[in-house]
Amino acid sequence: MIGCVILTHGDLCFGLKDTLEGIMGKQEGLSVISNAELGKEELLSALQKKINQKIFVDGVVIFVDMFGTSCWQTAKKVAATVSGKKPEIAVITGVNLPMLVKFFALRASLSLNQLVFQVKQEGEKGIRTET
Amino acid sequence: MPILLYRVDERLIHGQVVVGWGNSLKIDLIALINDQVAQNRWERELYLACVPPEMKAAILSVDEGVAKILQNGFEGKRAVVLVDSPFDILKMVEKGIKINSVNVGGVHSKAERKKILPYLFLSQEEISAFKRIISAGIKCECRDVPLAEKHNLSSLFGKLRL
Repeated sequence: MIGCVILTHGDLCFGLKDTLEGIMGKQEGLSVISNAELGKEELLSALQKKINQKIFVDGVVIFVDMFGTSCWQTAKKVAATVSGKKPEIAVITGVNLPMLVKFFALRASLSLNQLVFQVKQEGEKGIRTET
Repeated sequence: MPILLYRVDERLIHGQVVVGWGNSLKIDLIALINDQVAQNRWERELYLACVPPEMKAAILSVDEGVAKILQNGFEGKRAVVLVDSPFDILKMVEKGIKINSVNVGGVHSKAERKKILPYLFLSQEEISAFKRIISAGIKCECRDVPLAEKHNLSSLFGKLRL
């Protein structure tokens, strides 16, 4: 299974999880972390704990709300420390609901790299403007 | 122009600094002063990736940062100085930098730290360091983002009997 961790500022991660599960039902291997109040090391170890689960043999995707933030830095650090080891990790920034829906719809049928590609594309497609 | 803000923030360059303070102070230069980051290429690149295109960043060791500030090296820039602990503020003051006030941003939870504010957790050593800064006549004002309420650290210490 490919695992999913949503790492955000404030309560956004909880809202995303609730809303996603409201649409798709309860999902296995989905965890959330908020950076609120957590120090650097605490955030790093919280993320490591969520990632190091035996069922995630096919990898883990860390969804982050915003590029260039402490959440993103933490995700990058974890990805760098496990680089070349298992589980394989991908980081996607700018998490939105269409991305998560796509992730859970496709994760059983794609490799980590294919899944990341599809999810990113879906996230981008979800942004439309009407002017 | 003098340095606009000296800020203690363990997360260094991140959203609150770039988005919050960046917009409100119209920052064009972030001076990240930290010995460990200055020595580590991977970390330097990580923080530099977080700097938006309209700003520049300089990553310096404490000694380099002090030298630069004493030579007015940031003259003509709208610069902020970021450090991750009160200890580095003390070092800078001991090396001759004149600071009127320090903005205390995020120092977050850790085993030996006590909660002061939702974004401020301090160990005994950190509390002592801030007290030394305060007794050097430097105002320590807690505010994570520009529109948040300001808290005077000295009064908070008094209220919490620290």
